[in-house]
Amino acid sequence: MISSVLFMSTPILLAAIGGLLTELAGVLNIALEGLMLIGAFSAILITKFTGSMFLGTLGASLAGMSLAYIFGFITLRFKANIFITGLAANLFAVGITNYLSSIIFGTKGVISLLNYSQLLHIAGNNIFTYIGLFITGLSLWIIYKTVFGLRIRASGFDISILKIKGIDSYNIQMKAILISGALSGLGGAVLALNIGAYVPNMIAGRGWIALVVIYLGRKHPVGILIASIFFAATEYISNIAQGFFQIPSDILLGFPYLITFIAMVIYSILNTRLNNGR
Amino acid sequence: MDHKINDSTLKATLLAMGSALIITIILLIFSSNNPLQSIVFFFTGPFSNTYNFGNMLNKAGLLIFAGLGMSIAFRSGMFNLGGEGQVYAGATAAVLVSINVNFPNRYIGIISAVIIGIISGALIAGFSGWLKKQWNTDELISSFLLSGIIIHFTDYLISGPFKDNSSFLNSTVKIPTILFIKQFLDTSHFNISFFIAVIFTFLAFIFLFKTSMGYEIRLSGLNRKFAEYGGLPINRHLIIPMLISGGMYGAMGSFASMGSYHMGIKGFTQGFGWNGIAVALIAGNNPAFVIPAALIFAYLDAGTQVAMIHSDLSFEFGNLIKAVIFFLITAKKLNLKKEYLYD
Amino acid sequence: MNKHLLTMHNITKTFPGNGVKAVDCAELQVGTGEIHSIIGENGAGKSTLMHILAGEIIPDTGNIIISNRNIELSTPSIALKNGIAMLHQHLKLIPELTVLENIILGVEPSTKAGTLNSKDALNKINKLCKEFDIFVDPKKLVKNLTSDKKQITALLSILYHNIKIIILDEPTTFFNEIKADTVHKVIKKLQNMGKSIIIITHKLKEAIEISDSITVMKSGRTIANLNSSETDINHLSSLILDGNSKIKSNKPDIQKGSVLLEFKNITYSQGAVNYLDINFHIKKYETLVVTGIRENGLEILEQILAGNIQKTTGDIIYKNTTTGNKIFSLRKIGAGYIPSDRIKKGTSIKSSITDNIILLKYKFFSKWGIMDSKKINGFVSKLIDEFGIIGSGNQLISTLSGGNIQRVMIAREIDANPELFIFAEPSKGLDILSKQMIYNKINHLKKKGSGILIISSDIDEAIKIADRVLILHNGKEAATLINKNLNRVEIGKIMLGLNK
Repeated sequence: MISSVLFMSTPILLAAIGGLLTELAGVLNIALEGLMLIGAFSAILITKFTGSMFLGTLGASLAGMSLAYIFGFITLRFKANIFITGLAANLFAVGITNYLSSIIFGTKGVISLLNYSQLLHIAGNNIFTYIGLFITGLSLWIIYKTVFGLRIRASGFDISILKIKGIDSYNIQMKAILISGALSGLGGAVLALNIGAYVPNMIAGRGWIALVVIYLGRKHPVGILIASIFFAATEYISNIAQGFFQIPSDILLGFPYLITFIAMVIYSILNTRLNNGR
Repeated sequence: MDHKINDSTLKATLLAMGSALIITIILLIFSSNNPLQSIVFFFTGPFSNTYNFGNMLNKAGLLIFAGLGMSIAFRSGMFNLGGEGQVYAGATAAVLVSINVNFPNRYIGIISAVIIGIISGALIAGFSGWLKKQWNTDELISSFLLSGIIIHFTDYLISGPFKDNSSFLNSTVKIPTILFIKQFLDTSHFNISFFIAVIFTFLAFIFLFKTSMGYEIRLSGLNRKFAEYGGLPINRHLIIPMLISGGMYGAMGSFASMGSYHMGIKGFTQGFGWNGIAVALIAGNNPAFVIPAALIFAYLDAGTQVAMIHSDLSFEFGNLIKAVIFFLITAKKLNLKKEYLYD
Repeated sequence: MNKHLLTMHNITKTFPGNGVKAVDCAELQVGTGEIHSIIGENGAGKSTLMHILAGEIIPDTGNIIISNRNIELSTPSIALKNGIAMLHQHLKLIPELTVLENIILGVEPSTKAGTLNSKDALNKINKLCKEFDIFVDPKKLVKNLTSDKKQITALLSILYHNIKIIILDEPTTFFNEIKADTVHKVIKKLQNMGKSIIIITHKLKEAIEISDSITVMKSGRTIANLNSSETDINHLSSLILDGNSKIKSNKPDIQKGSVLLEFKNITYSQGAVNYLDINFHIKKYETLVVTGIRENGLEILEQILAGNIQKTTGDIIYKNTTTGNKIFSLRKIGAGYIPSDRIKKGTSIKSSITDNIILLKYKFFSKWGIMDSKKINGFVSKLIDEFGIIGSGNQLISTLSGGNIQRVMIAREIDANPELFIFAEPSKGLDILSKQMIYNKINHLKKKGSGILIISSDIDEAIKIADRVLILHNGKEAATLINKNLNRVEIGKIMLGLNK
């Protein structure tokens, strides 16, 4: 059970760690959902053609980065509204996956890998679980122990101070956006490769959950890890409950949104209380 | 008054629309066996017969509602990302009322159903506004999540307790024929809702620019510090704009179900909520420009649908066009030079 | 001493919007290892000139020469590379980072892998602390520091660089004697290391005691360059305060009105530092001007009046009702108020003149929530005429000149006929004609029975319009005088603390 919960938390964890870097760098990233979607599609597409899950995973990250680059470039260089460009990235992901899917596979439905093999497990845990944990640890190191991390944390506060210090904030924020693209793409790949198929709408709000997880985790990698596991656990429990109580699948699909919504409201209530207490 | 469009907004709008058009044509070339014909269909399709033309106008009318609501929300500085759920809820609420209540006559019936639809949308969005006021919950994320809950719950209602088992569609039963909003222009969906939308445009313009509440909303959205300094009731305007934009999405949904589809269909909204945002942005959040913006958008959409029949394009292809518009429409600086400004 | 480390020649800067020359053909020379003070009234151009040197403002004309090389300082980082850094009054620190992180930002010592080499940085900072005999815990978050430790952090982040010229903006403003002494020691130490130090200060005694030479600025121009051994406080104050002695003191009105607003033993402090300590009342039919150096309490007073910050102790009483622990809310009592921050707060610059001007009256023009456009247009054009605003109702504020923006605000506030009217820095950046118009309007309002409170760092302005003048020195009320035969030297000496 623990290993499945840990594994289920991995896609959200990866996207949230990427989103954490942009959040700290002062870039609100509502594009996570789209970045994950494009990762999931690319993973299956590339694995199908090369037969290599490794290349599929790599390709997913690159695809995520490419979309992230467009998002970042237009937002930072054109000074466009970041909410709207974030929406654009999400819609673009839906559009381009559907378009490519119908052109390449002649369907906009499910695309399965034919000779699909289980993901590699080590000591009972999925390889991606380890990768997720490793990246969380790595992010801890990057954020708090490296020059890049320091500059990310600084640019989230006031980029005019960075200018005085001669630091190019565009460069820092862009790198953070690219990393979030790579990690979200990876998160999408984990989802798709696990079931050996790409299903439209398979991200099912996980990008948005990741966004909320960043706040619930108090913008710290360890907090984010805990929050991701919490969400995965509720997902796990609701899956089991589904078996017992025959909950209609539509209700079940809405469940992650409900939990996230409730968590978010509770978080903001506590936050308000805390601030008023001071 | 600031209901004129300025140069840089116009530039960004033209750039966004132009790019969307070019990308559409490029994609048509790549995915069609007969690109030239597809492009011709794309441009002339919406005008080729009264059916296509009527449907385009009807779509534009529905988009006007959503665009007006979003314009007011954006003006106040609030983000409502829950349009999809609000449209869906409004449509389904109107249908359920129509099916289950015996109205004395058709007018009372239609009007009640539409109003119920509007209220459902308004309450959902208003709830996000209330959360913002109460605990500073980010309305952008909360409205999206709430929409996710509503969509799946409504899906369940339509495909569960209210499903029409005799139909091969995943839908409710049809509403009583007497409650159909009458359609004109042949078999197209075009109906009176388009004209109601035009009237609403006028009302929204008056509201935003000629009423004291509109004044408060505009100024709170533009400069919160200034509104606070002037003693304007800024907290009230966290909820009202959300109620209005949700209500307009509700109107869009109930007119779509009462006037076009006559039943609740699972997942029929397919991007209606996002389209509302697109229309508002193309119009520069100005009701005066919402009608042309909705017409342009509906034209793009209709053109794609007609061209689609003659190529391999999928329906969600429209998302790509929307994405291109969203990417560029708020661009402020269109030059690529790095800038160091100290002001 | 080598007089040619830094030369600023013929520097002029006009800010767009008001057309006032903030710096006008200024000249400055500083040698290696020299401590150089720049003195002058608020608005004399000291800060602008130094911001130009720090690369934060680009001048319209003029040359900056360092070590015989003509250089263009277009950004702060270029200035930094040329060995120039400025310690701002509003410290440029990031509260969420530690002291160490703030200091090393931009010049982080690192290993090849990109890891921060905190040890090296820590050693260097500790060494600097020892050298200058100052202390701050490098591992603390800046947001948890007291204000003087923040100042030390900001200072360290400059010392950490290899700097030739250090600009200090009012380094001892909020310090008591002992802490000011620490700052002076640091400055002397820097001098011994061969650095050049430029100090912007209002403290004439400090300027003479610590610096080698002094530049006096007035109305954007550098009017004197003196050796500090050859001058004294009286000479300096007469240079600064010298001006139009013809400015006639207002004939003070007999105070026949009842008390409107009272500030009873109001203080504002943070930690051990006391920023404000004031007592005053305003009656109907009178104008009270609170004057002093802007940073020495005027800013804080305005913030308290605007309801942005809460007083630490004391009572604010409006018409016999105390606000108690609630924040003072001037719009609730119907007071008029023009803030010193005109652009971000006093106006909505992306809105039209009409939208700005009806702010206090839009409800009055509405019936059932619908605004009467005809009445509004009539009202707006009446005010446009009356206050000489150049522009039409639907023109955006952002297209107006500074003087015009000011007129829009005054029209709005004065037309509402407030019983209490609070005006911060009325003539900041205005031409003479606009100034006169504003004074007339204020006097007119007073004669109709309003109580007027003006917060102004401009002595001439105080003399021109006040019935009574309250003078602050270091945030404390130094004197309250009836404006009868007052002159600028008298007031100036009190605000500079030279009257004893």
